[in-house]
Amino acid sequence: MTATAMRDMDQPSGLSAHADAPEAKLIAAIAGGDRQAVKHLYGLTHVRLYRYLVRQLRNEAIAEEVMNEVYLAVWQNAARYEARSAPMTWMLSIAHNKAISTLRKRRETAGVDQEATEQIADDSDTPEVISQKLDKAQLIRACVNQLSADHRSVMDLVYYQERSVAEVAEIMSVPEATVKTRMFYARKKLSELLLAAGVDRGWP
Amino acid sequence: MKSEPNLKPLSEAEEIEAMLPWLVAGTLTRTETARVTRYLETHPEAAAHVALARDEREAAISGNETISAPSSANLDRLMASVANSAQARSISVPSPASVWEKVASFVGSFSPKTVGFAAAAAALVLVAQAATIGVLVKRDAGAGYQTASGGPVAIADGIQAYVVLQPGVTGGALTGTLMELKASMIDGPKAGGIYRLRIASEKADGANAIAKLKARSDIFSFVGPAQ
Repeated sequence: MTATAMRDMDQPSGLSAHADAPEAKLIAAIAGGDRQAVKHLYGLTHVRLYRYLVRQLRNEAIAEEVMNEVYLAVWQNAARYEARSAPMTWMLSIAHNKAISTLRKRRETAGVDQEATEQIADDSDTPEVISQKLDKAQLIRACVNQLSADHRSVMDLVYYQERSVAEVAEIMSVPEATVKTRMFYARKKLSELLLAAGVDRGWP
Repeated sequence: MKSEPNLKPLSEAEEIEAMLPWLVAGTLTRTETARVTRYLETHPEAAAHVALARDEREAAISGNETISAPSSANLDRLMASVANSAQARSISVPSPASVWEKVASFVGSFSPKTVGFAAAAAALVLVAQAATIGVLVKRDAGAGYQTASGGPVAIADGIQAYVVLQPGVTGGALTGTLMELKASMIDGPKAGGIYRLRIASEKADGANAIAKLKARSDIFSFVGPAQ
């Protein structure tokens, strides 16, 4: 069965729609002060959260710190979770906001405009250089890594984190139409990077 | 909510193109899936682009899979922070055992027949998924893949498996077993309570790793390779 079959109904939107998920029960326990539940929630979810943050922040040590801030925020705000969204979506939303805040602070601390490195692209290797080093699959991966933070984020949320349009909109705090627009331009930019590296995808 | 600045709204063709990633990830709603599928049936040039989205998905997944786990000391640091925060937090604290008792109570409320059905459903899910993948997934030579909700996933290191937890399993028992088997949860729960986990193991030793999981029938009611 594909995830499509799992979502054989449109998005659950009612109050406590996800309350029966094990992670939601753990969050409910955390709201009641159960510290062990934090540990169990960490065990179930930290790999995906950590990977999301590493991909956004491009620094494993900082990603660890920010991830712990996410779990601390869950500990402190668990009572606010009403299970309207999936637990992982709620946690990714916290992680996304903290990653943006961290990137902003990093820019301010550096005292220079790092927009080019964090929002536009990582051009440490040109597409031509990359194409000489890598096979096709690795090449796509390298070009995905060259996308802006917003574009990498939407791709990771959809492809790896398996979030729906509505969930990505919630995580990124943008309308659903914007999520689709962002994905369209992320894929278009990826095609351009691949073309520069000698791979013509025939689209757009 | 902020909108994307300076970008014109997408045309219908562009919007369908934008939705292909969700189509291959299997995360469109039924309504959205019907809309995209109808369009692709009448626009073969757009249908050909599904393979591009599949390539992108593979790249995004394999890119994530290459990221190793955080340091083992990280959890200790987190729990220290939680302890500090707890001292400052003025809340009524119920019994620490409450959560897994609640989880166990919830799962335990299923009859054995229900649990058996869930395991059977999980097995059917995997069989159906394998069949779907057989049709949809293009495999590149030399790369190792496993399925996740209808698509390929590269295996960077270790073995991946699908599991369903036994009713009543405690958080402590689960955590202990995962540590003992050098395994970690990386996805789930999916429909039927399926989790995907990774076991630190050589690829050639995959059958042995799966056998170790199956041996823990006190923890897992269903174990299947995620390949």
